[in-house]
Amino acid sequence: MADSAFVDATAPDGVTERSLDARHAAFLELARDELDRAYRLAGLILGDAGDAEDAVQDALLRAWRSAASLRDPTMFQAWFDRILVNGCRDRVRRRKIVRFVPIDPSLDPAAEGDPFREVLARDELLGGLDRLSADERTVVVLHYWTDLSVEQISARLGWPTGTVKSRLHRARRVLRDHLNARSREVPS
Amino acid sequence: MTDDLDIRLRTSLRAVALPRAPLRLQDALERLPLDVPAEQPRGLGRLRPIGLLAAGLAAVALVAIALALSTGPRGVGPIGPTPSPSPSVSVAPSATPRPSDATFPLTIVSVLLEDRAAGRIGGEQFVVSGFWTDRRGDDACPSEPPSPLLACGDGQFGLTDEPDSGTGPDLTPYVPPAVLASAPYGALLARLAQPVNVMLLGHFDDPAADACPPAARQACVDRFVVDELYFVEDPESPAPTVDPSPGPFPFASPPPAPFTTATCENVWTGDQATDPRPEITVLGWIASGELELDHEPFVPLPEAVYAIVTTNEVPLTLWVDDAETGERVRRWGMGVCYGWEHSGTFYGALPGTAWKVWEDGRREKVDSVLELESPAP
Repeated sequence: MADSAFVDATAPDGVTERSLDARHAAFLELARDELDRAYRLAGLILGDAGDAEDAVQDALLRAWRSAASLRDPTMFQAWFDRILVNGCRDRVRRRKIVRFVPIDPSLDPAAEGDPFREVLARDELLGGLDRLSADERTVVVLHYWTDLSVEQISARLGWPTGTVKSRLHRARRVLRDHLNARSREVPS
Repeated sequence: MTDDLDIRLRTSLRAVALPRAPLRLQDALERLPLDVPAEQPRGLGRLRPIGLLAAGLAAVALVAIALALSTGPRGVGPIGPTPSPSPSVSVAPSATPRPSDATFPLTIVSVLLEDRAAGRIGGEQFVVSGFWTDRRGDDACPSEPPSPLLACGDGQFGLTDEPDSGTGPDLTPYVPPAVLASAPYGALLARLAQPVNVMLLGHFDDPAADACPPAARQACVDRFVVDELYFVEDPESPAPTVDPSPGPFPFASPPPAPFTTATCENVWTGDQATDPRPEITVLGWIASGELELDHEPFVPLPEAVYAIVTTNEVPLTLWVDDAETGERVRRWGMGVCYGWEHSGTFYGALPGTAWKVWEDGRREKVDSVLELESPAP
């Protein structure tokens, strides 16, 4: 069995499991280094700080449960990204089924002072991210913020490159239309 | 081709000042439960016996099929009364727990679909074997699914009888988040440059179908929900290599030293004019079981620690007032300085080397350099 970052192939039977403490410490160390980036990635995809925090927390737990699947610690970021992004996409899909609308918008604490909503809304172009589907938003963030190529996104998420390209293409069209619509709104 | 929109998107996204992860998240990470069982990667050799499974399964040629008769076809069309128009919280489809001693009927995609269409399969669990590969066309995974049960959490993959997915029946199951995040699925995704032989434990008639809109109800009922993925190792793949010189630490190569000799020297407290200077030996990364200390560590040690020791006896504490006599004392010993990445640095003495020393030169052997002076009650 191939060695993993958390399993050591040294015993005569092929696998000796490292102590739980050692695996835990190694996992914590890798995850600490990725925490800020993961939170920002989730925040850009979800557009909401609270959801981003929940998504990262869920991903950490899932990742820890799946830690034995990580073969190479240098691939931690790519491996964790996949878990996190899948969780974010699932959250966005659930939003479309259940939407809690506050009776009084002023009572919705999430509407006030959300750092991701505020920074994205401030930018004319980034405000259009809300018009994208979860998958389109994901490829836009991965391509333009984390600077991954189409092939790298494909490998990281397990999507065919054609799928990544088509989603990126559609996202760009939606954002271009959004910009054009905004420019027409500007009073002369 | 890069155009203005590309440049603007990249510039805008990178210019935004994004917040750091809140302290709550850092706390949550540090509090990850130690005893959550980590999922182990599965391979063909570790699959639990499931009745008719043969080793070296090649899905199409070797499957022997034994299908339990269903309790009766679910029928076609909406199930039950029409729901009220106001949606309540929907039941998200989730993986069904596998009983520890259960065995399951084994089938292939074409037979599964045929029997399902004929009403011979209801909501019981099956293992279906096939090749996980790119789906043909985009209609099986709508970008705006009317229900999470019709979404494709994994992207654009599905199961076919043949590795060539160009022809023949195909199955696009629902893969719940728990399965997507599982170790076998992670291993599967790493190998999807070509079709991969897998077996899926799953079921139709998921309860979440009841919450689907009426127009999509049948599609939801007929969606195969994956409970578990068995990743079938490719017998042609090269045997994994084993590091010929495995170290005690969890990484393929040792991390850099977490501290320097200067860090340790700052703690060893001697008077530069009169006391001996520490003669230092860097042990480097050692298995924590090899670390000899004159006291129990204050925190659980990882598997490997970085250690520096002195090979001579040196003052290891400042002068303090002896609680019993009020006289000034300090402790000497052969010092140990140890830690690991992000741990900070811990100090102690090698066992059997600690002394309590008075200003007038008297010495007394003590068990530990860390014996604390406590004021008399």
